[in-house]
Amino acid sequence: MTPDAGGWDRVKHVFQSAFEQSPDTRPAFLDAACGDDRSLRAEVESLLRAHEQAGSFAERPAIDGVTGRPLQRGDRLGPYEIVELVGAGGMGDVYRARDTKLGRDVAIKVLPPLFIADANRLARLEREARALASLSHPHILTVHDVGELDGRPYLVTEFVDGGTLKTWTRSDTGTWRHSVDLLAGVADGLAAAHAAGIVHRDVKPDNILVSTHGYAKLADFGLAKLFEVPAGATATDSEATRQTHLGMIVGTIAYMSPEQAAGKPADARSDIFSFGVVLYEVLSGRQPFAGASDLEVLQRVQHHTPDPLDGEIPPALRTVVEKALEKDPAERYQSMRDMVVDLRRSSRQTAETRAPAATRSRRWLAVAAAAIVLSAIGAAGLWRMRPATTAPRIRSIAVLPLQNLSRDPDQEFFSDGTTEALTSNLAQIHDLDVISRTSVMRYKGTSKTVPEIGRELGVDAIVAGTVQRVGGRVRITAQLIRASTDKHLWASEYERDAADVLKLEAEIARTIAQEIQAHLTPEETRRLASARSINPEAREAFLLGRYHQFKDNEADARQAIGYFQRAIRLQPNYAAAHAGLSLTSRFLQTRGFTQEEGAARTAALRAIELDPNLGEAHAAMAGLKFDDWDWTGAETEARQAFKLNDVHGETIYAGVLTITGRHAQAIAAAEHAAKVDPLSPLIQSDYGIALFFARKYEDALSQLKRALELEPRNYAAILMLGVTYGAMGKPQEALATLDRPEFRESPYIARAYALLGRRDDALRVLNGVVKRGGAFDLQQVAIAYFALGDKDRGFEWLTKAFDQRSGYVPWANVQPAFDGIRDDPRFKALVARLKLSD
Amino acid sequence: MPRSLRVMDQTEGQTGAVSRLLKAWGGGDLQARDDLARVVYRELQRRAGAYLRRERPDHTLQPTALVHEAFMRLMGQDRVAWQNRAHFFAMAAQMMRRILIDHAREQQAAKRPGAGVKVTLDDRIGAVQPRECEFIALDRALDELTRIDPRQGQIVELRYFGGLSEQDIGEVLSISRATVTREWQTARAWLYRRMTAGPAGKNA
Repeated sequence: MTPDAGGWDRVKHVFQSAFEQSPDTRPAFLDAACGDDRSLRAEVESLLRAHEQAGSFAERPAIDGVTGRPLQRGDRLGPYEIVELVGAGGMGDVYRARDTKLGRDVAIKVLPPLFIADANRLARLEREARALASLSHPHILTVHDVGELDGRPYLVTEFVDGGTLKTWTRSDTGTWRHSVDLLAGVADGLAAAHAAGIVHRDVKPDNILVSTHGYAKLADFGLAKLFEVPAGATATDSEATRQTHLGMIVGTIAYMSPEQAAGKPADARSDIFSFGVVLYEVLSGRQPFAGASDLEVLQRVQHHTPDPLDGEIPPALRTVVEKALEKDPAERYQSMRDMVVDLRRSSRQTAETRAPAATRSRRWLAVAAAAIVLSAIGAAGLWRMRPATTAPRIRSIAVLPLQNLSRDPDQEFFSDGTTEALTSNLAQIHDLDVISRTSVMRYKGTSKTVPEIGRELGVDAIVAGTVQRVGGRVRITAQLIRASTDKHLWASEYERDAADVLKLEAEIARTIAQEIQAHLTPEETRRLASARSINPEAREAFLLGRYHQFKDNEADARQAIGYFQRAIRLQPNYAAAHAGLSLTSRFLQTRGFTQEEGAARTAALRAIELDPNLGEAHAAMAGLKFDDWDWTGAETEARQAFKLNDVHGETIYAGVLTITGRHAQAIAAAEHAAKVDPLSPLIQSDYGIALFFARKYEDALSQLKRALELEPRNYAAILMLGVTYGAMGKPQEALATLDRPEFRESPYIARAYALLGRRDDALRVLNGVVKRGGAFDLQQVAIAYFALGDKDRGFEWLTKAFDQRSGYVPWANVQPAFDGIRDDPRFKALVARLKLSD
Repeated sequence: MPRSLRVMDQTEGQTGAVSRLLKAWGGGDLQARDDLARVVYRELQRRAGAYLRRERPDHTLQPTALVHEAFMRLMGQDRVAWQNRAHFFAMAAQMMRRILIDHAREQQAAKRPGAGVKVTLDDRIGAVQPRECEFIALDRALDELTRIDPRQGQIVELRYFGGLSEQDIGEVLSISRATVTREWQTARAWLYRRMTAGPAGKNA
């Protein structure tokens, strides 16, 4: 009964008051307000229920609903802000939108309106979306959200930049292999969905999105079902909706299974048929059941056997397609999984016989693009070409800077951090040489090709990929490419909780190691498996610290320290953050920016304690022990770091070996460091320095020149070049090398003058140096005086250098410049202080 | 009230007339109200029609702003007493309702099988969904609601058909915004229940 006006006022009053109550207090309120008036209570409760169910009913003004006006830039649906309309089609309009909450791009598909009473269909769509999301399949378009806008359901999905298979088929001139590669992943996605009990019902090229990088994803699961005739519809309704239904399927009849065409229920085998149609079309460029009219198409779907695929298609592949297109579902593949297996097998059997050369140039050449490409070939690791047995083993690898897809330049440090983590994870595998971070960072945004980069870095393979951080999630794509042939060996896509990023990075490294059949020691395997969870905020602080750490100046170093400290506050057991703190504190200390001691040591100790297998922690400790002149301790730590392939640890290791006269080993370590960090000017000059002290002057010259090429202002390389020329008895070349503003008033050039017999010039420079004081290597003043024949002054300054532990003092015993005084008791006494024999 | 001399376009004559009509209506002149209604209807239909026929690909104008824009256009820069302004919006919302319902009826006639119109094989399934029916059902339900609660009926009209904000509605009806919200929630629940209850709605 609709209450009369007076009754309505009462209903309204109680409803509005009840509405303001919380759901918990509502029943009690209604008890009190309605008393024994059952009809009042029923009426109010029914309105409350209606309110709960109403969703967005009538919320938007009528005219918007009537016109179905396209959403406009800036319009909002919940947290999503419309950017632009990217497509309109039978199943609704698709917009690109920005998820303002999570800061990512999404696609929003606004579907045609549903009956109000069909709210349960939306719930089913949501359930299916959730089931699919739990599969988290790389070839199924991820649905983030389902909602309703004025009776029009909408789906919020990941945004794929590209087109659909429909446009791809038209524009692509790829080979059959390319097509199979592209679709094998989709087939796998479909199989996974079937296994989860979800049937697509509308597999067609329109529903297969292909990114600009040639990566395919199946979209619109379950939408077809959404618009089917509702159960229990009245006669008139059913007529109207059958029309609707027919209207809907018409657009896709070319891909319908015979049973769908006959109006029978569709199961997973119907999807298999539709997928077969897609495969046929992509392979042959024509639809198997094309007809002049829709009726003819329907007729052909049910009765016509398609023309055989042409001779270029391998017979095994033809058989797969034919089996999928059997009219009788019982004759078809009974599961998509079986079809996937056959599809892959048919493609693999003939793999390598026909390289997809035609599409190669289009796909992979620019590395900037390659870095973000997820190869269709290796789609998600679901399909991969095993390195052919004849192909050379991959022994060296470079991880190119992963591209930041977050659109937020501030996230750059995050992708860089992942690049570095992958690098260092792989570097822990001793069987593999991994180019270090500083060397690969130069290729950020490069337009060089993979083979070019491979040659420059001297590696067998390249890892490229993308990183996207989306709120609490991280998505990483990675691919492995053989450098010499530019051939994709493997590719995969991962999405995880940001807290699990360390685990994910370790997993990717482990997978790559498996792909290239690198030998992992049990320890390495264990270590890659033991990555722990991490607080995403701590990781962020750490990466920011890392970003500032390598800038080589005080302000950045101090910022780095701040970030490392923050990371540690957030996650006290963060070993790498402790190591970073230690290294940066030591940097400030050795550069004289701070007198503060102890911080570097405490942090290094803590880092090692937390993670005894962290190369960097040992490198930090090795540096500190080196500063202590604790050669044994430094060597132990540096060797540990070296074992863990920490490149800085290696150079320290080379240093310890050099000062203790083990030159061959020192050269080997320095050479290895130079190999894995071929573009780091410092590491390259360190190798030159090891060669110099080994008295391999010619080798030292060419190595130092290489270091100088990388960085023309490489201070260490220039002075060591001058020193090397001096040691070679080529003072003229030494002078020419050092005749630069930064060395003109230095002890190095004074020595060159002395060796040339230009005594006055030498003394003038030396007097200036002594008078001005300041930061310079005191030992060099001594060396200049020795070159002038002034032993007393020389020992005076050498003693000062030892007292202050200045610069290269630890190298005194192997310093060629001291050859003339090596037997002098004063020298022996000084060198004894180094306690090198311990 | 003096007319602004700055309004010099072709609407000049009309704006003055509309102001006068509004004022006269405010003074109880029912003929003025009817005359005004015709003007407003024409103006709204001209503008809304462009949307309904999808003739405005540029989307420079928000459909929801139609009523406001009609007001601006018809009033020019005349100062209008708030009562008159309220009258205008109430009337414009009513006109919009009429325009939209008429449009829905036309659409329905064009789409219904049996109305002499062939249902084309159209893969735009939305095109044959009886969205228009729903509209007409809502219109009828709103009439029912207006009978038991005229103020709620008017709020729905202003908001749903007129596209006015709750704030504006509060001004038009001289009630607080909170009241508008409460009444709107109630009306919406009532309408939803009425429309989902089926032809013989259990509460009817």
